[in-house]
Formats: sequence, C-alpha cells, structure tokens
Amino acid sequence: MAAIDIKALQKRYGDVRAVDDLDLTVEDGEIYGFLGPNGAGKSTTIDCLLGYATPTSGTIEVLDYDAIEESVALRQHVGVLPEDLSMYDRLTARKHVQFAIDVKDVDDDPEALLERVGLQDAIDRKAGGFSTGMSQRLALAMALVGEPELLVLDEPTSGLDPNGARELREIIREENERGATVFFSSHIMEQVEAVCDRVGIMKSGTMVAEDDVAGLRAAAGGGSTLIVTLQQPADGLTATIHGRDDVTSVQADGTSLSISLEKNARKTAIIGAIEDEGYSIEDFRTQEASLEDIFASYTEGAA
Amino acid sequence: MSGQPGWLHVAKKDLQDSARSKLLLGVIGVLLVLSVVLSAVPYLVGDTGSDGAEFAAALFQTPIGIFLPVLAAMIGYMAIVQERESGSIRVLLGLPLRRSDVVVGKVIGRSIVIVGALLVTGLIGTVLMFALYGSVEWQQMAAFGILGGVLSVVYVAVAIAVSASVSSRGKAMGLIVAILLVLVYAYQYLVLGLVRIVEGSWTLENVPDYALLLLSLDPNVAGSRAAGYLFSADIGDPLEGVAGESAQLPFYAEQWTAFPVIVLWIVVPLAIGYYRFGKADL
Repeated sequence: MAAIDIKALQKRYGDVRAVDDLDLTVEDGEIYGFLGPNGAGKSTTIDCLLGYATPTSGTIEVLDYDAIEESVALRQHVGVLPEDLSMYDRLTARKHVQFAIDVKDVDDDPEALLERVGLQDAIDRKAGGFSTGMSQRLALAMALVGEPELLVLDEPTSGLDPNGARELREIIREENERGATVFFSSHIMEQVEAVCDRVGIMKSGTMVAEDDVAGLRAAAGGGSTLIVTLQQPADGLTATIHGRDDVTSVQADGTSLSISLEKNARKTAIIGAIEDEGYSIEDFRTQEASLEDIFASYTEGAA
Repeated sequence: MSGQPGWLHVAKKDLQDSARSKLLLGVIGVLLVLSVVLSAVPYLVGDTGSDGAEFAAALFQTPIGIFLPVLAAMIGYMAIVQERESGSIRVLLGLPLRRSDVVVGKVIGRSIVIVGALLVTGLIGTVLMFALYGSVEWQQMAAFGILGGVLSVVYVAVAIAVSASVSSRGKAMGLIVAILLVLVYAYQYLVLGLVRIVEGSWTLENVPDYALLLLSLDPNVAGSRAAGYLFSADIGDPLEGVAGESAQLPFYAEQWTAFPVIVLWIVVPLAIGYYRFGKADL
C-alpha cells in the first residue's frame, strides 16, 4: 500500500504554477526525504496534502483517504509539524500537548512526549518565551500524539542546532521502527541523507529526481572524482582518457587532471592507462562528490 | 474523534488563552469603571433613595449601546486572522479539526469572555446601587444585561466573521472599524436620510414601512426590543412612537421579531466569514 499517492497535482496562484503536474508516491513504512530549494513547491505540496490549501487539479490519496475531501478524518491518523508555525504565547507546553491529546481523543502522557523531544525543563513554561528551536520541539511533541501512522514534517530542522537535528533524526528512526511512515521536507541535503530511504528533489514545481541517496549520487555523475598529479603537463592526455567508457569528464589544469568517474569505474585501470601513455604519476587521490554538489547539480540550471 | 466535538476543544483552548490576555483585563477595566461611575453618579449629584436607583439605571442604556459593540469588536476581530498571520492556525488545523470548528469555537469562547466580563461588572454596579440607594431597579438592570449580552454576542460574531474573511490584520481592522461606524453611529441617520430623500421631508413620526423595517434591523434596536419583550421593563421600544398609531402596522413592528433579527445578525455574517475562510489557502 502507498502511504501517500499524489497524481498530476497542480497548484496555481494566479499565473504562478507553484506545483506543476507532480506525481509522487511514498510507500508504507518508508522514510521519504522531500528536497528542494526554497520556492520549489515543497511547502505548497504539503499544504495541499494537509488541507491547508486546495489544489487547482490532481488527486491526493493519503492512507487511503482522499486528502482533499476527507482531510479531517485523515488528520486523525497523521502527525503534522507545519512550516512557519507559531504557538499560543499564553499557554504552557503541557497545555499545547494536552490540547492535541484532547482533540485526537487519545490517552498519551504530555510529560512523556515533552521529555522525548527534550523539553523536560520547560513543561510548565508558557510558549511565548520559547526560541524557534523550542517551538519546533513542542510542535514535534504535538505531532507525535496518538502514534500517527504518518508523520509529515515540513522543514523540521529549521531553528534546531546540530544536536537538535541529531535528536530529531533519532526520533524519526524510532517512529519509523514503530511502524510510522515519515515524510519530511528540507532544503538541506545533509539533513535527509542520514535517515531517508528515498529522496525526491523538487525544482520549479516538478520532481527532477527521485531515488535513494546512493542512486542519486550515481545518477548525478558517478559521485567520485579522481585527481591525478603528473610530472609533465597533462593537456595531451585529456582526449585519450575522455574516450574511456568509465569516465564522464576530464579537466586538465597544468600538470593536474580531474577525472569524473562513472559509478563502476576502477581507478587502477585508469591509472594504468595513464602510465601506458608514457606519463609519470607523482600523486593521485579520489574525492567523493559532496551531497550538496549532487543537490546543486539537480537544482541549479543544467540538470 | 469519538469524544467531545472539535469546536468545544477550540472554545476551551481559546478561553484559556484569552483569559490570560491583557486585552481582557482592559475590557474588564473599562466595563468596571463604566458600571461603577454610572451607578454612583446620582448619589454624587445628591439623588438618593429609589429616585437615585431609578436615575442610575436609566443612565446605563446609552453607554451599553456605544461601548459594548466596540469592546466586542476588539475582542473578536483578531481571533482568526492573527492565527493566520502568525502560523498557529497551521498547528490548529494540523489536528483533526474542521475550519468550522475553529470559527464556532472562537465565537463561543470569546462570547463567554465578554458576557462573563459584562455579568461580573454589571453585578458589581448593581451591588453598589443597592449600597448607595437601598433599592435597585432589578427589572431594568436585567433588561440592560440582556441588551448588553445581545450586543456582545452579535458584535463578537460580526468581528469573528470579519476575522475569518480576510488574510491580514490590517484588512480586518479596516473592515471592522467601517462596520462599527456604520452600524453603531450612522445607521439611524442613514435611514432617516433615506426617508428624507424618498419622502422629501424629515420625519420621526409615522415613518414609512420600509424605514420601520430598516430601523428594526439595527442590532441595538433589536437588543432593546428583545429586552423589553422579556422584562416589560422601561427600556423603551425604540420603534414605539416612530411607527405611528396605525392599526395596520406590519408584522416587523411587533417586538418578538427582535429575536429572529438577532439570530440573523449572528448567523449571516458567520456564514459569509466561514464561506471565505473555508476556501482560503492558509
């Protein structure tokens, strides 16, 4: 069963197509990272998913509910951490969580939930004095109420320090092990890499790539680069190396060669080939493409 | 979701939240000063005994008509739009609540707030009257309580309807101020102006039926007539005299019609507000 099944989703604001013909499927039990730069349409997609906004066209099925027509019934089974949220200044953290417990009509313990998100020292403090990170943690506690089948977290790491982000990932893993499907968005690749089974990258309202992290790495250009330093100028070598099947591109810079490798390329074979051409190798090293490079390759221009 | 209805949760939470607000303290302060001053004025100018009590009670009608709509509007106009601007509405509607739960819950929560403040301060004034004059015009005070309660709930409903209809606090403020100006301060003059234009003369007696109908739709008029109907108190039917002596008066000259008018003032604005809020992208 698919936890989320979005088909041909379109959302227009006037002339602007915030989401344009989006298809997206999240399998039951999966942790799905929804990536894209700000303004790519992630939040609009989530707004349509949760009933905050009405799609212009398309269908959204979530946990077998029609997310547009049956939004209220659906939200009984979903834990939501919205973007750009704010809390009730005059109510305590406990009152907030208790409110979610009352509305969902479940038996959770507000203290246990607040301890879980690291707010044990602020249980009876009013949310008006909370930092962004603390509000984010409180919203997460509210999202966890009632052991939801699906967690929808929109930019959950904003306002969290690295330690908070790590704790968040831990909670996401725990919830997933309990059986929850997790759908979370971010504009930072590293946030999703550590926990996600699958990643979708949005750009200008459409999905430009969808795979696991390793697959994205491969698809975005093999992932690794071999950098070789020669004892003589490297210009004459580029054509030969570029002709190889296991090389995607070559750049020469004085005596140094940057060779982008295909997924299954064997470095020793390439080094052997260079030596066969009569060049002496002084040094070589490999460089993994950073996740940010992969992300950029999809979301900036050329992809 | 088998427990209590969603609007009840929203109303409770809204009550808890606004009960701690400085706005509410301000509203209670204004009502308290009003109630104490009006109760004490006859005593201060030398009227005592039952004359004083009668005088004091008579003083209440006009200030209720002027202050309560404004206070109710202040309590209501930010109720929803502020949550929309801050983003707390996204937390609220991330839970299994309908948008109608939010509108209804807010109307009930804030109505309780202002009616509660009205009751407490009105009682203080009444007790003060009893202390100063030895008697109280009970019926009259109860009638003013009804008028105040009607105006509170009507204007809370109108203000929350405005709050649900627009996307920014500025728009809500502009709209509610315009509504207050027209309904509270200009309405009767507008109707009389219309009569002047149509009939060619100013008149406060034997006004034509259409003017009678328009005047009977004024929330303040409806509140006064409802109170008069319930307590046969000397609150005065504002339409009495205006309508003339004709035996053929239209049905809306009868006092009971005040009740459907009040219901319409609560339901129609809220229906419009809910319609606009219901299809808004948050």
